[in-house]
Amino acid sequence: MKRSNLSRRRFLTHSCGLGAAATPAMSTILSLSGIGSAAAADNDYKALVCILLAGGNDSFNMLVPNDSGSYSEYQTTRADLALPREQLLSISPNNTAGAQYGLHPSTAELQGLFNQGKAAFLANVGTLTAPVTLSEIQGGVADLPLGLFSHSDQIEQWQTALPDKRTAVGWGGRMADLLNASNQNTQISMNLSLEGSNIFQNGMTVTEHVLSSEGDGGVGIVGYGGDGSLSRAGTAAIDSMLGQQYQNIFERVYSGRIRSAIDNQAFFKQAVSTVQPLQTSFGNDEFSKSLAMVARSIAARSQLGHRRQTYFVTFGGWDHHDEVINNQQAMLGVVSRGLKSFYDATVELGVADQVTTFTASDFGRTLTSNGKGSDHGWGGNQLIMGGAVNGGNLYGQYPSLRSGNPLDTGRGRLIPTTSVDQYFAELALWFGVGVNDLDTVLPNVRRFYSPQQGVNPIGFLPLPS
Amino acid sequence: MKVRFSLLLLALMSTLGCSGGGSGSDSGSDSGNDNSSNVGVTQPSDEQRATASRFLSQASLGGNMAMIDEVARIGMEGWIDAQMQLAPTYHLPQVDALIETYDGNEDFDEFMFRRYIWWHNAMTARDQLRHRVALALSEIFVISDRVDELEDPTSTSGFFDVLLTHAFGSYEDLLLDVSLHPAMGIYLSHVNNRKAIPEQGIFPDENYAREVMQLFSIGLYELNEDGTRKLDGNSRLIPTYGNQEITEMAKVFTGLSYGSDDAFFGNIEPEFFEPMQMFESYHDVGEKRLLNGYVIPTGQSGLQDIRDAISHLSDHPNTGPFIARRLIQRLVTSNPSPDYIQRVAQVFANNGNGERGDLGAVIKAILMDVDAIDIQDDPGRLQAPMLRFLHAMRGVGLKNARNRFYSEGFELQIHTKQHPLSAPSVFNFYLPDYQPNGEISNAQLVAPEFQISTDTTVIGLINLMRLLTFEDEPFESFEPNGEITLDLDDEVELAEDPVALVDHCNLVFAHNSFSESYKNTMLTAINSLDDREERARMAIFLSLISPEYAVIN
Repeated sequence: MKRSNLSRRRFLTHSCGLGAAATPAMSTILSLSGIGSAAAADNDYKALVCILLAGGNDSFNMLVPNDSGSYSEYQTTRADLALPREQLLSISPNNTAGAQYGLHPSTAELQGLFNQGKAAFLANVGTLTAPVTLSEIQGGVADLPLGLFSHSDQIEQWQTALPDKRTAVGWGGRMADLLNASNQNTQISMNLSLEGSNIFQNGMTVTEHVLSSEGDGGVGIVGYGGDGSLSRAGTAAIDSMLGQQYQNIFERVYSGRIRSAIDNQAFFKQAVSTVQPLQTSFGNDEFSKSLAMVARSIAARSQLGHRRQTYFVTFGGWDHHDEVINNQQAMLGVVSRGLKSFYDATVELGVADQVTTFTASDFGRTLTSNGKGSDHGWGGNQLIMGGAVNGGNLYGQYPSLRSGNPLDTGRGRLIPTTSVDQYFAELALWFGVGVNDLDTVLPNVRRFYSPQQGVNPIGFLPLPS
Repeated sequence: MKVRFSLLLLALMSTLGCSGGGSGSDSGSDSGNDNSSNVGVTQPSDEQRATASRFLSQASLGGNMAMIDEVARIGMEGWIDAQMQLAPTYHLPQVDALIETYDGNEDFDEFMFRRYIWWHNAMTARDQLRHRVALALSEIFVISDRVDELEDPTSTSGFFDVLLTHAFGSYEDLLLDVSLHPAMGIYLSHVNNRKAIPEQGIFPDENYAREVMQLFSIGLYELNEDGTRKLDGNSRLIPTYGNQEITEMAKVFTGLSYGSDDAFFGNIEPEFFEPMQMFESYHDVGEKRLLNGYVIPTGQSGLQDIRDAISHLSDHPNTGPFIARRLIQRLVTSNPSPDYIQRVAQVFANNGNGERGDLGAVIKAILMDVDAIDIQDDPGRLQAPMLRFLHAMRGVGLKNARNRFYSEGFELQIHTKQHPLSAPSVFNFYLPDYQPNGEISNAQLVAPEFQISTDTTVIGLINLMRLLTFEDEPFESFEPNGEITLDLDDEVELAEDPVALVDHCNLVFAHNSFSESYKNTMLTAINSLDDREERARMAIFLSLISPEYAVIN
């Protein structure tokens, strides 16, 4: 009985990433020219860590305008959802011509990282099929993302970067399809997930390897390979079962999954067991435990044979139609402390400049209140963190929060001023995707940015030399 | 703990039957409890039994020998009819009694009471078809105990009772009671949702308005009667609604708060024994322009608005094929043919007596369909982990001195990421169109349950079955349960003859679908063991982890 509370917390605090509603994959001939020159050097290593705040973070309370005029607009529009100005944690971005902003009061660690130049924000970013104006939307002639304002569609499109299609292939998966061959060992996928199967890391040829935040990051079959008559009989039977030919496609795929799970987890466990324990301490919440496992896995990159890794971490429960103020206070605090520990761990491992962490979420939320919280919106603010990040800056255009401004499609659902394509293109180029392969990873990117050598889509990361 | 196995029992078919899951409970044993009438009746053929076993994987929480014989004797249709006559075994009164009994006892976490009762009823309740359908409905009309506000055990158990009540009733009544249940009001936040105050920038919450359409009734795109998506002149999908309609629908679901003797709007103390109550002064009385030109007129009462909106959704041409496909996926197959969906949708439209939305008729149509009974060229369905776990325990049977089978469901959830009424979001554990990368998506098939079949959980499920079969830890053994163990008497008896033991497991779990190759694998393992109890446990374990068992086709 005594374990109930602990155990319950363990499985209730975490929410799953959402999967796909999809059309079947078409075969694409992939060019290995995607392995940019930067990916070729032996000591070269980079990781992208995607933090999905599932449910739609109310990010205009994470990053708040903090000049007297802009705060007053914020306060008027957000009404009972407005944070008191005196509670905001001030930041002065280097690149906003003196415009001041405030961070949510529970994010002191993020304020510190921002001020040290290790974190940046990107304002009002969201899904777009093409640049669009309010009058086009009101006139009914706009080409809009499928299922705008809907969780399942928007959480999927943030992972696919294809808001005009339904596909189970994500942009992290498409990157891995291009870059996987640069890894010395491909037994364990370079796409590592702390939250089960997901769309972001699902490619045509590469799919994710799922890690557990517990123990050695994987679980094996208890007794498999052990001594004793029962274990020997069971092990032989399981091997025989997995060696069998299955006519039924579901049985065949299921059997294959068990086989590869056994092999992969044994390999992963072995790799992680050889690295030194981290000195950096992490919190006991699920989010921090997941990031601690990411750090351990990064520490084992050589043993895993990886030069490129993506990580997918989900923190769910942001759909605050009510109680947004209280819930965000607790949850953004968890995010802030967890990210700080993780950044410190990358410093300890000597890879702070090689690991870039970025947030994603279904959508921003309505600026106006429903009396208790906020509803599904569109554009929102995101955080990018890492030693390589041109930190201390605010990228994109922070929008007016005045009700009825030219981006307001109603109730403060703001038309994004930066597309997810631009956001992800910046990350992909840094990661080593060649300029000429950007279309493969982000098929709609030319609607927003012309890929060319030496020109960044946004500027929060340096281009590979 | 160590199981004491009895050598005294004889392997009569009737006692074989009695060993089924949770038999002898005070709330009624499994539907095989009238075994005595079976004596002297001709035994069903192997083929009849195999057909019955397969059927029970679609129509119950897990079959055992007694149920297999019963279905084989009276036929599938007769069994469905008999099941539909059984009174529902309701959960809320039992949960309430537990709260009463253990009031103030610090050793108990009230949160768990709804889980104790869920598992106890899953093991013992006779209305198996009703429970199976309610479980399927709980994966469509999703609420979850993962939300703090639904930790009160009366919330989720009361909601499950709504699903039990209407499992064979009217879809429209079901959707109305779902919409008015306070647990749903909390989960999708339409409780204490008030009409707009535009000058204060306050507008109705749109959460329920969206999900009641997207997930509970019509879906995102217009459908043909066979469930395929309609296309416009430019070969594009046709959305069923836009944001304007959501804003309008949100006005319908304003004015609701918790119902009680001293109810008031804005009450934040949940009350789960009554449906939500309408407070007219907080309800938007203006007209609401819903779908396809349908308008709710101004000035109606709040509840009339809700009834009209629910009726409007129930009457939408999408609803039949939408609900048909989801129920077929949960009960029968992941990839129902358009013809199958259409046949069921036609029953949804008209049960034969001119009534629309008769779920009893829909369930019968799904289970008795030619495609359910004999799936040609259809890979079928990967069984959800919770169904495999249920079948494992029910198929073998459990023993407890007090016939109590309370569980936290903890082991299941940790190992497989699934537990009844505990989904991570309103989108359930998996999406109806999920396509795992590779061979399955290349074949243009969907396979929802694969979404929670990751490296971690496929191994986790094997370890869960190991805990169950070798460690006897299906349920936590604690007061007030006392010791719960597998009832292995019959299997141990059969273990004298390994072939008979394998045949028994093959029938109960896999409706005789194990390949010769796998039966040989099982025999080799069993023959390497001398102890009959170990043989029994190994046979059960290997049955439960086999891909041939995991996939029902």
